[in-house]
Amino acid sequence: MNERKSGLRNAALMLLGCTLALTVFGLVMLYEVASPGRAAASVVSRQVVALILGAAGAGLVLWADYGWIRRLAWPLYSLAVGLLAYALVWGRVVNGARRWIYVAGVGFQPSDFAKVALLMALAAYCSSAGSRITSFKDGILKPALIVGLVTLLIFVEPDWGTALILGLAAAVMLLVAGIRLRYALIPSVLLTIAVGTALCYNGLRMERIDSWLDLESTRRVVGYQAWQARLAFASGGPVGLGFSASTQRAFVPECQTDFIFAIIGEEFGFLGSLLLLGAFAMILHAGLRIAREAPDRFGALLATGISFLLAGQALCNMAVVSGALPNKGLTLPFVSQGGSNLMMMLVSVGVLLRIARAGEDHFEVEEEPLSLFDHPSVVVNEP
Amino acid sequence: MTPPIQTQRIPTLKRLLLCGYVALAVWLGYWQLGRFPEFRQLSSGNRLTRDCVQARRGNILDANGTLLAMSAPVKTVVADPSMTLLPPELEHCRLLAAEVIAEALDMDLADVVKKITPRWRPNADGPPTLIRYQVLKRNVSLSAWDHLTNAMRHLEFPVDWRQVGRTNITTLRYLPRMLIDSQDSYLRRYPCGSLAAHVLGFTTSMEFRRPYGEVSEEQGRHGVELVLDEALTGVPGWRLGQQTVGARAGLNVVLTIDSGVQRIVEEELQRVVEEWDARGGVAVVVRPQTGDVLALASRPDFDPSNPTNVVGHLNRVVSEMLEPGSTMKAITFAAGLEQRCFSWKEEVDCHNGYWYRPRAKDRIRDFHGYESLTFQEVLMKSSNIGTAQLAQRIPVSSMLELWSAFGFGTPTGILLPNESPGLVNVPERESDYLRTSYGQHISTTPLQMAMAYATIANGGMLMRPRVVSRIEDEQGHLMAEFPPLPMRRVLPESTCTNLVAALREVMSDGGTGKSIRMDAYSSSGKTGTAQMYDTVNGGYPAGMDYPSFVGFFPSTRPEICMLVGVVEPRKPGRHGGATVAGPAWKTMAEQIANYLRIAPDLQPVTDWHPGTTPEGLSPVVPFAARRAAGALLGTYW
Repeated sequence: MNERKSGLRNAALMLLGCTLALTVFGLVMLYEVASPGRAAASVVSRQVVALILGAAGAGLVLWADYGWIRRLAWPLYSLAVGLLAYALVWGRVVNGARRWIYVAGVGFQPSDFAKVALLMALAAYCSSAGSRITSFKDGILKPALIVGLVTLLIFVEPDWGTALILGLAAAVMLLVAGIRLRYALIPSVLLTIAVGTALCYNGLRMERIDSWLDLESTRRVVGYQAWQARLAFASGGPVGLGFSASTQRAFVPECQTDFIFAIIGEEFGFLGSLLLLGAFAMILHAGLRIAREAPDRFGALLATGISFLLAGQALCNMAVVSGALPNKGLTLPFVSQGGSNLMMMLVSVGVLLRIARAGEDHFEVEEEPLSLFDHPSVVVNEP
Repeated sequence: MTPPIQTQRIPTLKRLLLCGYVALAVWLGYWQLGRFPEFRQLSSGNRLTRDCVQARRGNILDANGTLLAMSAPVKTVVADPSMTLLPPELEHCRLLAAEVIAEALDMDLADVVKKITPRWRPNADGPPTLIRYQVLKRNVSLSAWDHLTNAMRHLEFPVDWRQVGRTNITTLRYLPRMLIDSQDSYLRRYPCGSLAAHVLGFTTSMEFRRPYGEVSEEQGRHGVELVLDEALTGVPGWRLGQQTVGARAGLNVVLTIDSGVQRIVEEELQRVVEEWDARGGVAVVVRPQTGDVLALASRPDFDPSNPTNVVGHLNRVVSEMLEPGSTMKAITFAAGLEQRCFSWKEEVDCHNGYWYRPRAKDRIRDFHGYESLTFQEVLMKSSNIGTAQLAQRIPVSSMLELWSAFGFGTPTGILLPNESPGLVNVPERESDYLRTSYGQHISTTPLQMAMAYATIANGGMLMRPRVVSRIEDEQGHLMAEFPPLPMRRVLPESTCTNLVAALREVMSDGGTGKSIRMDAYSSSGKTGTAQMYDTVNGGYPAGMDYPSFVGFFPSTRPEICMLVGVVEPRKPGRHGGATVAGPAWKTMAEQIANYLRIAPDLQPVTDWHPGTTPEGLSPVVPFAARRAAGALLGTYW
C-alpha cells in the first residue's frame, strides 16, 4: 500500500520535475536562439508571461475540487468548439492559416485550448457511458462525433498536425475506455483512406511528402527547412557543439518554434537528444502511473489521454525535425515558443497532478481501494 | 461481458509509443553518430556564404585639396525573381511590386516586370533551378534606395486573402521584404565636371572574380586613374559567415594641378579654340623650378563621368607629335651661344625673305622679307633665313646633343599615359638640318617644348614634369612622395640669362610678340607658326597650321612657364602664333598672375594714390560715416 502511495508521489514529482526542467530549458534555449537582436528579450518575456499564467492555471486546477474538472468538461468543450468556429470565421490569418484569436491585442490559438477540452469531454463521456462503450453506437459513433467535431474544425484551419495527434490521443483514450477492436477497425481504415485521399489532393502536403522522401534534391526549395534542420542536428555529433555555439540558427527557419529541436540537437548532440527523449518518456511513464492510481475512470482516462498527447506530440515534433516524418507544424511541448501552447500544456500537467493528488487522497479515504490495474475485470461503479 | 475499461491495453499502447521513441533514438543515432562528420562539413558550407565587400577607390585631389575625383557610396539593387512565383490570377501583384520599383528607381516598367518574373535555369545534372539573383539597377543613390524600401514596406496587395491559398499567402507575405536587396557599391564622381579631364582620366566598372566572390571594381582607363590605378584601387574585404574583414580604401592621390589655374587655362583655351574654329588646342602651365604642372588642358575634351566623346580622349599635350615651328629657334640660338659663334649685334644677310641655295636646290622663305638683320632681330622677328645661317655655323653633332639634352625624342617621364617621345630625325642633308633649326623636320610634344622653355627659365636645369605630388592614405598619412626631380643640366646658367634677355626682346615693339607684352610683368617667349605634317598623305597641306606661343614670366625670376597652341584653326585669316595663340597666352598669364598673386616686376598698371578711388573699386566711405561706425564699435581712431 505504502509502496503504491510512494510510487504515485514519485511519479508526480517526476512529472513536475521533468515539466519544470523542460520549461526552464526551453526558456534558456529560446533566449539563446533569438539572441542576436533585440527580439530575444521580447520573445522570452512573452514566454515568461505565458509561463506564469500557465503555472497559475495549473495551481488553480491543483487546488480546485476534483469533481469540478469533470463538471467543467462539457462547458469547456462547448467553449472550445465555439472559439474554434470563431477563429475559423473571424480569426487572423498567420502563415496562411486561421488559427489565432486576438483579444485586446493578445493572441492565442484556440486549438491548444481545444486539445485539453476535448480530452476532458471524451473522458467524461467514456466514464459515464459505462459498459455501453462496447456497443458500436456508444463506443464508436458518439465518440466519433465528439472527437470529429473538434478535429475537423482544427483540420480545416488548416492544422493537420494538431488534428492528427489529437485524433490519435483520443483513439488511445477510447481504446483504453474499452471499445471493441473490431468496431474500431473499420472506421480507422476509412479514416486513413479519407486522410490519404485528402492528402493526395492537397498540393502543399504532397510537396512536403515528396520532399521528405527525397530531401537532397528538394533542399533548396520545399525541403529547405528540413534540410537545414538536418544540417543542424546531424552536425551536432555525439555531444554537440556546446551551449550557444550553434551556427545553424541563422539558417533554420522557425528555429525558435517548431524547429527548436534542431538547434538543441546541434548544441547538445546525440546525448542531449537522448536526454530530451528520455524526459518525454518519463512524462509518459509518470502520466500513465498517475492514470493507474487515479481514483475513478474519468481520472484514469483523462490522465492516459493527456500523457499520450504530450508524449506523442513531442515524438512527432522531434521526428519531423529530424526528418523521420514529413513536415507537419507541431510544437515541442514546454520548449518551443508559443504562449497559448505552453499555457495549456502547463494546465494539462496541473490536471495530471490534480488526478495524482486525488488518487493519493483516495488511498487515505479507502484502505481497500479499487485498483484498475490489479483487477482489470472489476466493474468500477460510477461515483 | 467485456470489461468497461481495458486497462491492460495501456501497457501495450505505452510500449507502442515507446517503440516510437526507441526508433527515433536509433534514427537520431544514425544521423548524429554515424554521419555527423559529413554533416558538420556540409553545415560549414552554409557559413561559407562568401561575399565581397567592395573597397572605396581613392580620391584625386588638386594641390589645394580640392576634390577632383571621388567615390560616392551607392547601392546596387538586386532582386530575387523566385519570390514572385505566383499563379496567373495573382500576377497583378507582381505588376504592382514592379510599379513600385520602377517608380522608385526611375526605370522602365516593362523592364522591371521582365527582370522580376521568375525564370528557370537549366542544369546539366538535375532539374532546372529558379534564378534567384538579378541585378535591377546599379549606382542607385542611398536616398532612392531608402525611398524604395519604404515604398516596398507599405506595399499592400488588393487580394482577397481567403481566396488565394496558403502557398500564395506565404509568397505575398514575404514578397515585399524579400524581393529586393541591395549591395554596397561605389560610384566614381568628378565634382568639377570635365575640369582637368586629361589629367584625371576616367574609369570603367568591371566585374572581377576574386577567390572570395565576385566584386565590381572601378578600373582606371586614362590619365592618373590609369597610371596610379594600383594605388587608387583599395583591397576588397569579405564576409565569411559572421566573420567580416573590412575593405581597405584606396589611397588618395594629390596632384600638382591647381584647379584655379586649370580653370583659367581651360576657359581661355576653350574660348580661343571656339573663336578660331580650331580642331583642337593645347595649353600647359609649368613651374620652371620644380617642373610642377599647374594646369594641363587639351581640346577637344571629354566628361570623365561619361567618357563617350572618344575624340576627346587624346591628350594632345603629351601624346601628339607636332612640328614646333619657330619656337624651336630659341634652341638653335642656345646652341649658338654655347658654341660662341655669333654675337647678338652681328649683322646677317636675310636675302630679302627668299634664300635660294643652288647647290642644294633648297629655298628658304621668310614671312616678311628683310635686307639684313642683327641676330637679335633675327630672333625678335623670327627670321628663318637668319636662323638657318646661324645653324650653318654650329656642328650638327653638338646640335643633336643639345636636342637630346633638352629631351626631344624621349618621353619626359610625366605620370600620364600614352606619352609620345616625339621624333628627332638625324639630318642626312644640310637642307634638312637647316629646316630643323627653325622647327621643321622635327616633332615634339607640346609638353617637351614647354619643358625646354622651362629649362631656359630655370637657368638650364631640366626638371621632370611633375603632375602627382604625393600619395596619401585615408587619414592623410604620407604613403609616397614624388619630389621635384632634376633630370640634367642642359645649359650653363650664363647662357640662359643671355637667352632670357634675348627672348624678352621678342615682346618689344619690333618683335613678333609685341601684342603679347604684359603691362605689369616682363616676359620672355617665342611665337611659333608651324605647318602640320599630314601623317596620312605626307607633305604640308595648306591651311593645316599649328600656331603656338611659349614663354615664361616674370623674366627676371620666372615663376610660370606656359605654352598655348591651337591646332588647325579653320577661321580664315593669318594663323600666326602671335595672332592666334599669343592673345590667349597673355590673357591666361595675366589671370594666373592675379590668381597666384605673383608680384609685378614692372611698374603697376594704374598709379593708385591713397584717397582716390581707383576705377572698379567701391567708393571710399565718407569720413563721417566711418567715424560713426568707429564710435559704434567702440574703437577710437
